[in-house]
Order: sequence, then structure tokens, then C-alpha cells
Amino acid sequence: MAKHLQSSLPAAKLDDAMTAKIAGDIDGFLDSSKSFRNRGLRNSDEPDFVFSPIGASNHD
Amino acid sequence: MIDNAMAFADIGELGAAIRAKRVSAVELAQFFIARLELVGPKLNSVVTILHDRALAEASAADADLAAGHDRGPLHGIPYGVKDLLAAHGGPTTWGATPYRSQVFDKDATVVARLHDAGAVLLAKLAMIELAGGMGYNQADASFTGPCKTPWNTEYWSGGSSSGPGACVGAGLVPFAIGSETDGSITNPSSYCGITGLRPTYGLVSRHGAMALSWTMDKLGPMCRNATDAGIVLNAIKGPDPNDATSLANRMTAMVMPSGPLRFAKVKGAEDKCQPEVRKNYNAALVELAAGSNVAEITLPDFPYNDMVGIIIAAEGGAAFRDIIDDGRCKTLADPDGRRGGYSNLVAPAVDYVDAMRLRAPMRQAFASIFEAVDVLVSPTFSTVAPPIAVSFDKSYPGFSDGPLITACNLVGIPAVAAPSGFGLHGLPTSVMFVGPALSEARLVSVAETLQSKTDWHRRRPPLPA
Repeated sequence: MAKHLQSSLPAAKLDDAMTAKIAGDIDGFLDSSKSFRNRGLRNSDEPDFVFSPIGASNHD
Repeated sequence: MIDNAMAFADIGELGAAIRAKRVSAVELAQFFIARLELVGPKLNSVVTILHDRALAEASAADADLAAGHDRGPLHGIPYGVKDLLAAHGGPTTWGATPYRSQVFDKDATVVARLHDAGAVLLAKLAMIELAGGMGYNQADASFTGPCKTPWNTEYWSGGSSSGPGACVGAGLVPFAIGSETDGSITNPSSYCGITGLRPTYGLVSRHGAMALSWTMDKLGPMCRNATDAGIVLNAIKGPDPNDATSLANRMTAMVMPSGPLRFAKVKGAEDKCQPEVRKNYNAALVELAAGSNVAEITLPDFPYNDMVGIIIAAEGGAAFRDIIDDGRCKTLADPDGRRGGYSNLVAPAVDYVDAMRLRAPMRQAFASIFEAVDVLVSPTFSTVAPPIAVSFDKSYPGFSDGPLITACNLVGIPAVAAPSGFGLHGLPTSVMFVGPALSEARLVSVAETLQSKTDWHRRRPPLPA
């Protein structure tokens, strides 16, 4: 994924050293995924945000 | 000529001086601007002084009062804001090199409300770049340099509301507005020896504030004492049609519990604290709850750090995608911040959604705690301010903060941090009070009780050399 970022964001000019560090950061995210896998969330557990077809500011 | 003692007067004392005509709002503004100019550079705590705007607002405050139009307790009182709030009259830099010349020709809602209350905006104050949203591991994480606590300038002010903490602590402004996503009001309040109030999520409009995390950002007062924090909160809270997350009026009044308050400690909260932090925390508990039983609760089991990490990464990555994509984030001061945005771009979306799914049961778990407890008490942070010259991960090995601040920010409940004494290197320590959503009046009252029995909040730092 870090290599993909390096090639897909040419304006960012990510060199190989920084790309390697970004790869390490991404590994950290993937490690923390275990926390969420182990929580036993069910299909009915909804996220704590709500889409509104009329816009949230129209609710009172 | 204004006495230098006025620099540390609270809002009530300053307001009384204005109404008694011992000082005018213009004189007060000029006095604090002179202090910002003299001391601000020594602390790296000021970004922009808004001379013209300040004198115009102060003159108007004097004219209003002369005409019999008193706007209330903040009439003529000077203040500063963290430089992530839009205010006409100067740039709004977000503390970050890519935005140094950014200008908004409008006032954030909190700035407009303080204007309506008669307060006088003097300056935009330093902050950690992008409120730390790209990550940081050192005090030198802003284009204004490392902000210093006035108590010992070898040490950090805290962040990300660094300038508000340092400027209030040093008597450069009577109060300031900071922001907190995950500790950014409570941390500098602790390290600078002042009283900070992080409101319930949605109680204070964020319209005109830099967004780091739409589901976690809050704005709140940083003041000399708890009474001042309550005064400022009253002026800035309330619904705002420009902020879809602001709470409706009907939700902003909470009744104080009848009878003695039920305090509870958080299990393990003092285990990894510096000894002075622990001693001062326990002394504060004795002052507050003498003779009554203090319960102990165990925080519910949730992956707090992983949750806050993925939420801030995903929302912050989206908020600052422009400077990540085009590489401008590589001009940030902190090496971690220069690259943090790139991993944020690929933060797992499923984990973000799962973190948001966990916030509902977490909210329910905290609501259960507050059925049996009125106020949670904890050391605000486990250590005094870290040294500027050392990265955070190496500054105080063996000591670490518990998850309470992160948990409460995820749940969106309020806290007041108040000075509890002093520790290593003559630096302040702090105690924190946490309550259920919309319990700000209760928390202010608890901190006022502590401050009626102690004088830590009245101590003054030396003027930096």
C-alpha cells in the first residue's frame, strides 16, 4: 500500500526512505485491526453516525 | 498606569475595575497587548496580535458602558483564541506552515458570541500544527516553535492548545478559547497551572473552527479559575444552525444532584503517576470529599486507544487530504507529522466503522457508571510537563496516562481540569473532574469548591527572563 501511495501521489514526491516508514505506520494500523475483530459486534450494531436525507441541520 | 497584579486578576475582578472606572476597556486591552508583546515571544505562545480589532472592540465596549449598555460579565474583558478559530482582522494559520497565510473574512461562532458578550479579542494564540492531527512526538511541532510553560521555560506548555495554556498561565490574557479532540484543553491546562473546561460534544458550536475530527472536536474555555470557566462557557454555548452537531437548547440545562455529591476514583488512575502528582491528587480528594465515602470504579473494557487512533486517522486524513496529496504536509515541523497523513489515507475503513459502532455501547456503559456516581476524579495527567529538549516517548519513562481522557473524548462527556499543586522542577500538577453529558455546572461547582479551599489557582509563575 505504501508503494501504491508513492506511485499514485506524484506531487507528494515520496522517496523510498519515507515510503518504508509509511509502510511501518500502515502495519501499525493493521495490528490494531485485531481490537475490532475481537469485539464480537453483531449485524444489528449500528455505527454512531446517521445519514439524513433532509440534512442534519434541518432536525430540531 | 495599571498595576501588574491586574495581569492575574480574574474576570470578576477585571469587570469590577471597569465598572468602577478604575480602568477602561481600552486601557485593559493595551495593558495585555503589551504583555503579549513582551512575554509572548519568550514562550512562543502568540501567533498574531490583532491590534486594530482589539482597540476597536475595546473602544466600543467603553462607549457601550458609558451609554448604559452593559453586556454582562465579559464586557470589556480581553481574551485570546487558539489559532484554529476564524476571526477577521488577521490570518488563521492552524499552527502549520501550509496555512501561514490563510485568511478568513468571518468570525467563528464562538468569537462572534464573545463579541456580542462584550469581550475583546486581542490575539490568535499558538497551537500544535493541525492540532496534532498528523501525529507529533516533540514540543517543537508548530511553525511558531516549541511553546513553553511559564512555570519553567525549559519545559513544554502542553498541547495542542499550547498558546492558550501558556498565555493564561503567564497572565498575558485573562482567558482563552482552546479546542480538544483527545486531551488538547486538559493537557495544557494541566502543564500551565490553569483551569480548563472541555464541554460536552455539541454544546459549543464549532462553526469557523478547523476540523480535525468531526465526531470528536470540542471548543472550550481555559481560564484562571473554575468560576471564570463557567462564565465563558455560558457566553459561548448553545445551538447554532451553522453547526449540525450543536445540541438543541432543550438539552443544555441539567439539574444539579440533590444531596452530597457521590465521588468515585478510577481504578488504576494513579498507579503510573509521578509521586507528586499522586500525592496532590489525593490531597485534592481529601479537600473535596472529607468525611464521605469515595467509591472506586473500573473503566469499561473497550479498545480506547485503537478506537481514537482509527477515528482521528480516518477523519483527519480526509480533513487534510489536500496537503497530504500534494506533499505540503512535508513542510510540517514534526517529523512524525510530515508522514502521518500518508498512512491515514489508507486507514482501514471497516475498522473506522467498527470504532464508530463501539461508541454506542461505550456511551451506555458510561451512562451506567453515572447512575451510581456524580463525579469521577482522576489525576489529569500522570506527570508534570515534559522537557522541551526530549521527545515525548523518552521524557518520563515508567510513567503513563490511563485511558480516561481518551474514553471521555470518545463518549463526548465533559471534564474540568484544575490545579492541584506542584511537582518536579516547580511545575504544576492537576486534578480532573468528569461527569455525564451536560454536567458542566456540576463540574464547575466541584472545582470551585476545591478552589475555595486551596490557592493553587492563585499562584503566579515568574516572569520569563
